[in-house]
Amino acid sequence: MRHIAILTEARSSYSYFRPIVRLIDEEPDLQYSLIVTNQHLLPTFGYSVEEIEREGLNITDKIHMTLDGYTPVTQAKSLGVLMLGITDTLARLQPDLVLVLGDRGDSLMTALAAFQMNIPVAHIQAGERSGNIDGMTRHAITRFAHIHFASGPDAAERLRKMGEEEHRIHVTGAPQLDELVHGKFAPADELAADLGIDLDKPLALVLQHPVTEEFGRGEDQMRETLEAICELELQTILIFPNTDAGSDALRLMIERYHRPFIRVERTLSHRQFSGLLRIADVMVGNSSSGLIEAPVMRLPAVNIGGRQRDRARATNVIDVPYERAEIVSAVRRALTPEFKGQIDQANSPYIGDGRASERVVRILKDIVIDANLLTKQLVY
Amino acid sequence: MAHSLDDFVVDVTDTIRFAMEKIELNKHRAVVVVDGSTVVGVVSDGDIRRAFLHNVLPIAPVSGIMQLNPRTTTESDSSKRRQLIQDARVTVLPVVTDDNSLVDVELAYEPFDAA
Repeated sequence: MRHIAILTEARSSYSYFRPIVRLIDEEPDLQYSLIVTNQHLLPTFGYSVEEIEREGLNITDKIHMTLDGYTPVTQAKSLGVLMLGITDTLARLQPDLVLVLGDRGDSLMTALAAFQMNIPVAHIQAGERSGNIDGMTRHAITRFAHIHFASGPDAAERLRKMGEEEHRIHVTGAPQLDELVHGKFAPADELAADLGIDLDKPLALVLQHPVTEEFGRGEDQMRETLEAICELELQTILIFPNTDAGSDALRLMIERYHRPFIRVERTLSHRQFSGLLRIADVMVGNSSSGLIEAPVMRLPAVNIGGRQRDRARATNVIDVPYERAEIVSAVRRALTPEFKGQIDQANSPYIGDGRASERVVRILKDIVIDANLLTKQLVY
Repeated sequence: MAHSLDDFVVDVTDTIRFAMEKIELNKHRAVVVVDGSTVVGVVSDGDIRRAFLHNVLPIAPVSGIMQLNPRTTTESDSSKRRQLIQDARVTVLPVVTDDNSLVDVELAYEPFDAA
C-alpha cells in the first residue's frame, strides 16, 4: 500500500487536491494523509478545515503555524514554524510520497523537509510563471521535487530549461479545473438563497490579495478597487484575502466599505466558489483563479496590478493598474456582450479536459520509487 | 426607556471579552462593531459561543468572529424601523447614515431590567 501525504493551507489549494483525494480513495493500492495548516485553521479566515471535515476526508494532522501581525517578518517566521511541525509529522507518518502544490511558502517548507528526509516529493502546477516571491518559490520547490506535474506544454518546457530530467516531467493538465469541467458546483438558486444574490442583476466576484513584494501599499490598492465597485454600484461578493504580509490592512479596508450591494465572506466552500465562477458576470482582483479557472467558465476577469504579471492568460483577462477609473472602465467593458462573446475557451494555456487528477493519481500509483527517482541531477 | 448607545458599541480592535461585558450591560444579546464611526459588523452571543467552540480565546479581537454583513437601516421613521427589526429577526439593528456611519440602534424589545 503506497501512502501519500498531502499538504493543504487554504481553500484555493484544497480545490486542487479534492478530486485527487477522491480518486486515491477509490484505489485499493493507495492511501492518503491530509495535513492541514495555515489559513484553514483560523476562525478569522472562516475556519475552512470544517469543510474538509464535513466531507469526511482523512485529516491526520493540523499544524498551527500562522503568527499574528501579517508582516514580511511574521510571514517568514510562520514558515519556520511550519518547517518544524511538518518535519515531525513526516517522521511520524513515514509516507512513501509527499504531494505539494503551486507556489506558496507552505509547499516549499514541506518539499524541503521531505527532500532532506529522502521522501520523494511530487509537485502540482510546476514550471508555471507567476509573481515575484510566489513565482520564485514555485521554482525553488522544483529543485526539491522529484516528480513535476505541469498544467501545459509551456510549463513543461520551462522545467526542461531549468535543467530538470525528462523522466520527472509529466504534462497532466490543471487538476483544479476537473471539478469545474465535470460541473461539480453549487447551483444558482442555492447560491442566491445562501448568499443573498439577486440573479437578475449583474454580479461581480472580488478577490484581491496583498502583493508581498509591495508590502505597505495593499491598503491603497484595495481602496482603488473598492472605490471602483462603489462607483459602479455593482452587486458584489467580496472574499477575504489570504494570510500574506499586509492582509490585515486589506481586511480592515474591506470591512470599512460595507455597502448594501457588497457582501463580504471570510471564505466560501469549494462548491460555492466554483458556482460563483459560473454565475458571476465579472471577476475583479488579482487572484490566479481569474486566469486559470475563470476562462473555463467564460468569465471575464479584470486583473489588477502585477501579482499575476508573468502568468499565461487567455482572452478573458483585462489587465489594469491600481486606479479606480481604469478599473471602472475595464469592468464596464467586461460586462458588454461583445467582450463576453470573444472569450474563447480553447485558447486557455491550461489544459482543462477534466482528466488531470486521473493522470496525477495514475503516476503516483505507478511510478517506481528507487535511486533513479530519489537522486536528482541537473542536465545542463 | 431610552438606551445608552455606548452600551451597544465596541471598536473593531476590542476583545471578545469586552464585547461580552457590553452585551451583559445592554441585555440585548449583541453589540455593533465600529471602526471610528463606520459600522463594520455585529457580534452576538451566538457568534461568541461558536468562537469558543473553536477554542478562540476571550482576549482575541472581535474582528475575527463578527458577522461581516449585518443588517442595517437608514430609515428615520421609528415605526418603520420597528417593522424592519421584526422582519430581520435580530435583537439590535444599527441605524446608519448613507455612508454607513452609526447614528443609533433600534432594539427588538425593551430591556427586562433597566435598573
